[in-house]
Amino acid sequence: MSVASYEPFLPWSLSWLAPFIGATLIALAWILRVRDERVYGYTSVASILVSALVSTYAAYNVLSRGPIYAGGDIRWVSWLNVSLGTYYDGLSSLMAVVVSWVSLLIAIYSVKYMEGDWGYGRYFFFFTFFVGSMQLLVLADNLILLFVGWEGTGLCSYALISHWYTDEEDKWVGKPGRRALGYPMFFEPSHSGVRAILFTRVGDLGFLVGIAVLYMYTGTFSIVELSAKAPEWLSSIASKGMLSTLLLILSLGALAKSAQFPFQEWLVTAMTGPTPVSALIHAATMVKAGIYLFLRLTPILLAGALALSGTPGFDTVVGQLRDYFTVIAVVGALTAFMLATMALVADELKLILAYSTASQIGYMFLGAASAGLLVGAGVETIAEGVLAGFSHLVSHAIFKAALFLIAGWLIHVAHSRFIDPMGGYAGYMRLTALSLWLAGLSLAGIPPLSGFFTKEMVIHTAYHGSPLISGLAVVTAALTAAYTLRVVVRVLHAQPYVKEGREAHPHEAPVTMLAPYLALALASLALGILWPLASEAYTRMAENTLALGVAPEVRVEASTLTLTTLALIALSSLAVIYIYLRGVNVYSLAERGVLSSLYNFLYDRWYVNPVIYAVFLGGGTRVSSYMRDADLGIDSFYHSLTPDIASRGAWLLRALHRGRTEYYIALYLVSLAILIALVLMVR
Amino acid sequence: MLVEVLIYATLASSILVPLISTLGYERSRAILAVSAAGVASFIAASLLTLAEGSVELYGGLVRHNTFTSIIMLGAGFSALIALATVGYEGYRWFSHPAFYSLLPLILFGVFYLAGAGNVLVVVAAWLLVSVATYVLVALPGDRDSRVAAIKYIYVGIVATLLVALWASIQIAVEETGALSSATIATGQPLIALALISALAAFGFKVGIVPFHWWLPSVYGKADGRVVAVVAGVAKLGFIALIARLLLEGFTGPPYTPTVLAVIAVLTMTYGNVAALTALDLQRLLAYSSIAHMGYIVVALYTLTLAEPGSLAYRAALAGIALQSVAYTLAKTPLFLLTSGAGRSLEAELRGLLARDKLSAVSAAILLASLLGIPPLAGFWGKLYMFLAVAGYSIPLLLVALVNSGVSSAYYIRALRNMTAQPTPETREVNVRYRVALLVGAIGTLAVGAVAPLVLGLF
Repeated sequence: MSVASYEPFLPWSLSWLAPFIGATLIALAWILRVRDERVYGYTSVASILVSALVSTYAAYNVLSRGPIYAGGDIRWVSWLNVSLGTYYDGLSSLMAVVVSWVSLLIAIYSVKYMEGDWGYGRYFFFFTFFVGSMQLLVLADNLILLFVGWEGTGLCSYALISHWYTDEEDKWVGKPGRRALGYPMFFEPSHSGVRAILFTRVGDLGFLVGIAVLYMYTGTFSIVELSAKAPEWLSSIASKGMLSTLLLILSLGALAKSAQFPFQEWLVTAMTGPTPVSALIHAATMVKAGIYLFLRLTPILLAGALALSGTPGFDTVVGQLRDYFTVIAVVGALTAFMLATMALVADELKLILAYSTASQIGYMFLGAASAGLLVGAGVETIAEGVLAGFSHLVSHAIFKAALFLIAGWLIHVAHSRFIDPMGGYAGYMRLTALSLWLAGLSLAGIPPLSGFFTKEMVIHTAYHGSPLISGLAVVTAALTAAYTLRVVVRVLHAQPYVKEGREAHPHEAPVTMLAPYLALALASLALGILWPLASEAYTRMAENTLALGVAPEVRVEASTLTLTTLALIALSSLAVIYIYLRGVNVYSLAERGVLSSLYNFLYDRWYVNPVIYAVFLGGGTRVSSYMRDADLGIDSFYHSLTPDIASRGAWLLRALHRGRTEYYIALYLVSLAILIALVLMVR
Repeated sequence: MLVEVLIYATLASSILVPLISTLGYERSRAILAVSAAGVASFIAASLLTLAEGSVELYGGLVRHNTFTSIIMLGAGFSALIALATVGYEGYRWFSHPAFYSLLPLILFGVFYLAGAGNVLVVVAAWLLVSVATYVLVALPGDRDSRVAAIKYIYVGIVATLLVALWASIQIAVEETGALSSATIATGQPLIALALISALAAFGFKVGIVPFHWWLPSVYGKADGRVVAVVAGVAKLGFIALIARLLLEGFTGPPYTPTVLAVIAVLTMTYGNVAALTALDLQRLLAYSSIAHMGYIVVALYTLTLAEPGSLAYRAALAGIALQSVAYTLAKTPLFLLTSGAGRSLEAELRGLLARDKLSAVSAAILLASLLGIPPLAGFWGKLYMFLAVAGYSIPLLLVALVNSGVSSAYYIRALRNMTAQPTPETREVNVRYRVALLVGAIGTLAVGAVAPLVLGLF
């Protein structure tokens, strides 16, 4: 799809450019040693507002008139044909809207939350830079620009996770002193920042390799062109039997970024960052980058495969695509289940939410990948899968952001990141309680909140793809409801487990903090109630998305599956409410025997972290010590062996000169004779 | 012919000096003056030859061209430096005024040696220069010098016999004494013997393996002042002679290049490895001389293979010329230094930089030139020689390069010692020796500056 003419660079690129400009201004202010905190906060909010407005306007235009391609004629790296283009289609414009508005609300929350913090300016710089990078990632028209945004988000994530790098104990994640399989399970902010960047780096390597291979096959980085040429490169790579491998390697970046198994560990310890950071980066936006990439890729792959139907290469492509999507679907479902079990026993508020995030993203991958399991079934199916994944993404972004922001306030009130000192807050902060209930019910998947509709879409699509995997998804839904209600009931209604050190009068949050999460919680409710309108928007989105172009009907039927799921959710919710309201001490159950091992197993996150440390860090250390020994060997060769040999050689040669003349004459004549003999022999 | 007149003037000065002495004026300053005049006259003759390009004397018995004139010029300047540095010190020797007489005589001999166009001229000049140098080595009168002279003589006698052998075979086979393009001629079984004799004899004089046994003892032990003349002046004549034998094309036995290549490798390696642990500057310079001859043999190898007039041929010749000049400009002042200050890098020369900055810096420049650091003269010589061989034998080139690298070890160590902390034994250098070093350094820099233009002369 070559574009005859491009929309102008400005104002369309302001969606991602404005926050970068904001970040530059903040940096300038810092260099000029501006002390007033408000300068930083307001600049950040203003630039993100600009981004939000432009994105909304663009989305409106896209949904009514069609995709917008801006700035594609501005060459950034001319010899690689990389432009500074911004591509608004259904998927990217809606994603940009979600990202920018959620970021705006969280920015407003941050202004109050981070008040008086010693790194205020630094925080807002990275925050704003992050929003710009995320928008760039979403809206880039080519893979290189996307990768730039990708890395930008990684950098800001690192900086913000280790924001409190002085590592005070109250900023840690995990119980101080707890060990699993010999490895410490408590993490300081500086350590967590490094983990985040290293875990995602591994994925990024795969991503880069994938980009390079695609470039090799197509000669372009442009996503639009890759989509157009999809049939060709799909069949050539598939004919070598490398398609599923390549796609998996390419997806490594997405899986790592979105904290799917086995990369989920970084997200867990990323909770050392300030809570708005957790809300924005680790719930609403950055972790969504991976699933967003996957959603972008899936229609291109499947539509490309469909275009090959009837040709000889079709079956090979289809077979390998199916393998690929199966792996992704299994990973998604597995992550969802694993993380949900971990959330059941966690006792840190933000950790429960973090597990929940990774779990829900597993759902999104499952939804989109399920379409891939049915590859060859038509564009409508593809669209359903993509919509299932995307709508759950939007839904989750909204309620999870709300949950994190609420968590920020609750942790402040309880002066502790653990939920044990929290309890019975409902009476003191009514609006917060309302927000928490709304967001929690949405997460649990209870109608009429949006979470219900989107989760049902995912489960249905998964069922069409593979009933077995969808079974796992249903069980996970029940677990999700369980851990969510556990948190909600314990914090708001039940008595706290730990009574000392509680603030005497917990009170409602200040307005600039309350308003954002209340707005988000209400939005979650609204999206659910107004589901017909929302689904209409999703349909229009699919119509205008690259490689989709169809308008499937989005609806949730009252099928057996829906009813079963709802029943399970309701059962587990009621059970949990009953347990906690009755004051049953669940901890005592987990003190002995099998339940105790199970508790530890789940509490220590299925021991994934110790295993990773043992294999990679341990293995890496061993390799490093081998290298060091080899280096010492080489070193001694140069500094000991060679000088030694040279000195001995020199001594030997000099020893030949004894100083006796007759000796010299003799040697001279002998040499002469030898030479003559040699020459005569040669002749 | 003016050149002849100038050369006879050199000879005249050599005869005049003992005459003055016999007449009873042995303390007179005139002796030094006459000797200096003789050297100056030689330099003038070389300049004139260089200016004329090609000079033929005595109906072809002596033939000079650009190559030989440049080498003679180098020898002449070194002789001047040596004479100026020794100054009146030679008056105190028991052998006075032999030094002032032999020096111009050696130069006179070098003129014929470098320009020899006939076998008999080679033999005559060889004898003249050899005997003169044998005696010269013994002149300072100390025990080491006399012992060195005797060793030199004994081994030199064998070499002289071999020269005679070569000359006789050459004349017998060629039926003419003329050294022309078919110098080491083809075909006859005796020619192998002739070739080897020539190699042995000339190799002895310049010090290539396996004929080098005497060199470390003589260069390393005799008085630095006379070694400076032997190594820096006389040797150049022999180098020019050897190269001249290969001039205008080589048509000798086909295995000659291989033999030369093997000798080159052995010589370079031997010289460089043996010098590695030398802490005595004079010994170090002796072994380094062996190594430098090895590099020159590499260029000789190229001359046997390349077409006369081709770029490689001209580059090899230019390389030999530049290398010889650089070598003599460096070695003469440095050998003088071992006499003037001391020979031990650990004692008298250690920390020279602190005691005598000018000397140390000049010596550093000279050592760097020997190492082959651009833009000094020594670099250009090596560059041309190695470039020339690149087209004919990469293995040989690699060995030469590696050897240059290995040589850096001892040169840099010498430099490091000179710049270290001085010991109580560190001496300040006598002003004349300092000037010698300085002149050598300036000469090295100057030659290095004009060296790129030299190729055009060939």
